This record gives sequence, C-alpha cells and structure tokens, in this order.
Amino acid sequence: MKKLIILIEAFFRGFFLRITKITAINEKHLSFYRVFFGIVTLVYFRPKFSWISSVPDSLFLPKPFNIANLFGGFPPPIYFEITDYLIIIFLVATIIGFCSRVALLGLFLLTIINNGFGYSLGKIDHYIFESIIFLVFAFTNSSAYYSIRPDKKIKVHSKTLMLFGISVIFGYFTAGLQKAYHWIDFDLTTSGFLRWVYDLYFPATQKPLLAEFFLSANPFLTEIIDYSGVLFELSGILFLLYSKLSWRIYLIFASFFHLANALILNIPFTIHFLIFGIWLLSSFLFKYKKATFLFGLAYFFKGIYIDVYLWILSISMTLVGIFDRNR
Amino acid sequence: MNSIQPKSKFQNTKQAIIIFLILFIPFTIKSLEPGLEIYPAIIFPTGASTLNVQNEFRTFEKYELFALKDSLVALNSQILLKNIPSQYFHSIIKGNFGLEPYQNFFQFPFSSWKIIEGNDLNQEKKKATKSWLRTNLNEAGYSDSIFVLRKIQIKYNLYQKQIASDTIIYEKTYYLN
Repeated sequence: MKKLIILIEAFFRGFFLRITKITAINEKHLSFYRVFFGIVTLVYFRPKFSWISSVPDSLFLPKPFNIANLFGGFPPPIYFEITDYLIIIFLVATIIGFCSRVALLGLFLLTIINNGFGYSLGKIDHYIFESIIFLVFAFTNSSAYYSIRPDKKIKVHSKTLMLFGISVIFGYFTAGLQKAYHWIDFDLTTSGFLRWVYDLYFPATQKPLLAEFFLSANPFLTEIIDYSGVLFELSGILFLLYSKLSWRIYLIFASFFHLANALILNIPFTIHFLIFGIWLLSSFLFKYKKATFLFGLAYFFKGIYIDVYLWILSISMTLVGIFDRNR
Repeated sequence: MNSIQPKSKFQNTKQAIIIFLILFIPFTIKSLEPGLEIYPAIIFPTGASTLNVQNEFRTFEKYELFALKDSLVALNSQILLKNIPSQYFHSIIKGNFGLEPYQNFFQFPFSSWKIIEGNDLNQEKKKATKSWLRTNLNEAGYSDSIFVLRKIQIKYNLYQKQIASDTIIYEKTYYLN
C-alpha cells in the first residue's frame, strides 16, 4: 500500500512538473503583456454592469447555487454605477503598474460578484475566464516589471500558470463531454453543429456572416464538424502534456474554433484571445512591441467585425511567432 | 519551479485531489442536474442537443414577441427588455417576465434533498415591473397595454432555401394595465 502511495505521489510530481515547464512564461514578457492586456480590456472588453441597475426586482431569479443568492436581490442602482467606475480605476492601475496586485484582485472580485447579479436573470453565461484571468495576473509576477510601483515577487508564479493551463483544458473538457455522448452517434440523420446554426440563425437580427453556407451543408461535412469539435474539446490534456509547441498548437486550434464560431454562429468569445495570448502572444509582443498598435485598428471596425479582426490578428501573430527562427 | 517541490509528504497527491475536487464537483452536479449549476465554477457551455436532418426539411422552434401599434406587430426583445442583453431572453420567458409567480423544484443528485427556485413575487414588485415594461413599450412607440409571446415552429425547406411553414405552437398575452 505504501509503495502504491509513493508511486502515485511520484506520478503527480512528474505530472505537475511537466505542465509547469510547458506553461512557463518569462516574468518580463508577462509584465509587458499585463500592460497590453489592461489596455485592450479597457478599450474593447471593459466589464460593464450598470445595465443591471434598471432591471426590476421581480426578474431576480438566480439559480440556487449562484453566488448572488447571498445578497437576496439586486443591490441599489448606485452600486453598479460605482463599481463600473471602480473597474476603470482598477484597470488603469493595472496598466500603469500602481498597486497592480490589489487592483487585479479587486477586478476579480467585482467581476465575479457582478456577473453573478447578471446571471440572476436565470441563465449562467460561461465567461468565467474573464474573471479568472485577473486572478492569474495577480498571482504571477506580472507586475514585477513595467510598473510605476512594482509589486513584490511571489513564489507561486509558475504554479499559477500551471493551474491556469489545467483550468483552460478543463473548461473545454466540460463543453465536450456531453457533446461526445450525443454527437458521436455515427448517424448522418442528426447533427449537433446544425442545431446551433439553426437555433441561432433564424432568431438573429444580425445574421452570422457565414451561417447561410451551412444551412444546407452536406451531412458528411456536418458530421465531421461534430466529431472534430468534440475531439478538440476533449483532447486538451494530451497537447498540454506533450510539449510547449503542442500546447501552443492546441491554443491555435482553439483560436480557429472561436473564429469559426464568430463567423458562423455570432458567438465570438473574443476575450479568450487575451487568455490564450498569455502563451501565444506575450513573447511575440515583447519582442515586437510596435505590433501591439495593430490591435488598435480594431477600433475602426464595428460589431462582429471587431471580434473577427482580433481573432485573425491574434492567430496571424502566433503563427509568425512560431515560425520566427530568431526567437 | 521550486513552488511545486513537495513541502510535506504527499504534497503533490494532496494538490491533485484538491484540484480534482474544485474542478469536478461543480461539473458533476451540473451534468446530473443543469438547474443546480454552481456559479462561480469552471464550466463552459455545452449545447449538446442535435437537429434531425433526415429529409429536406429542418424543423426548429423560436420565440417571438408582438405588441400593438395600429395592429399587432413584431417586437424586438431588446425594446421590451431594454438594456438587458439578448442572451437572457429565454430565461426571462421562463420567469414569466417577472409578472407571474414562478417556482421550480430540483432534486439534488443521489439524495432526497429538494431545492426550490423561485422569483419571490409580490404586488409591489409586480407593479414596478409592469411600469418598467410599459415605459419601454411607450418609448418605442408601441401601445403599453399588452404584449404577446409566441412560440413558433419553423419548417425550413433546404431545396427551396426558404421557410416552408411557421406554426404557432404556444401563445400568451401579458396585460400591463
């Protein structure tokens, strides 16, 4: 029995060491990426909650295990006005590197709680990484450089990135497991992918850009899409364990997956490009700092075109980065 | 790197168990009973249902809103539910737009424990909601007396690339006065 426990311990030691090595990011690169992340979040993805202030109390219908149940109802409207301003202040503090760690923890708490109020309308959206990424920056040494007042270095930098890597693949795993049960049916008369297309295409006022091409798609093609989606969502652990390059390849697959969702279903999940960017973009942008300005061009696009542009730009930079032999 | 070196005996195994519990408990509960989904938790959207693609018709359902101008005309949910993002439309329908009491029971997996979900409606809250909905309709130039919810079954013809039929399978009128 003792031998078995020692073996298990050795297995997990190797497991965590390997993932830690594969998810490792240079502290300087991550610090520069923190500044980039803060600016992009402030400009394009600033979490806003003041819309909740006008929602009547009778629509407060949180799921039983939503954190908002602790409050028993929506807070007064002024709360959301104040927290929207606090979010701006915390994001600016993150960008300039002034008490960044405190600001990032504040951003995590505010977005977790306020999203809980938003989800009290009866539906939990799954933008959890929009909050967790603040926690990741807070518990790494992302504010040790490029800061007006650098934060003290902490020992959990590598561990945080390792845990975040595991969280990312687990997130996709949760999406893929039930799909595997229903979609891998070797039956050309059903399609999971087309369920999404039809459910989202007809009610939409702004039709997804490429959805029309798939309304009458060949059943073989839609079956392949079903299986590919499931395979992608369930296979993250293999890519995470194999090598640094395979981990990046998985995140590139994930980026293409989200780009396709933006074009076909109008579901962009664009905030995820910033999450993948920790591994895909941080070193590239550190080396080619001027390239960050290309993200500013998204400002001239509207609606879904912003998301499409950001995904394409992120994928392109990643590919250039991977093939850049001078790195 | 030093951080993952064991500080005590079986540190890595303990860490693995903690990670496993934090990740898998909410996911297992949600998989067994989606109504009991925990927030916050690391869970992504599933949407695992399928569409029947057996013949040239694709059949699916959608909700539509209608309100009075001169006659009953289509109403965008974004007008009625001003400021509320459209992804919450279906859950607000489930809660009867906050105009009627709503209660639901969930059975906790592997136990006899039942959990109640409800909107705790009283006259004051109902009045405030009606007033809010009336204002939203008025501002967009609709009559503020009623709005209608319809569930429509649509049959789309693949070969003709057009809707072959749309049938109302559910209709409910909400009175705001």
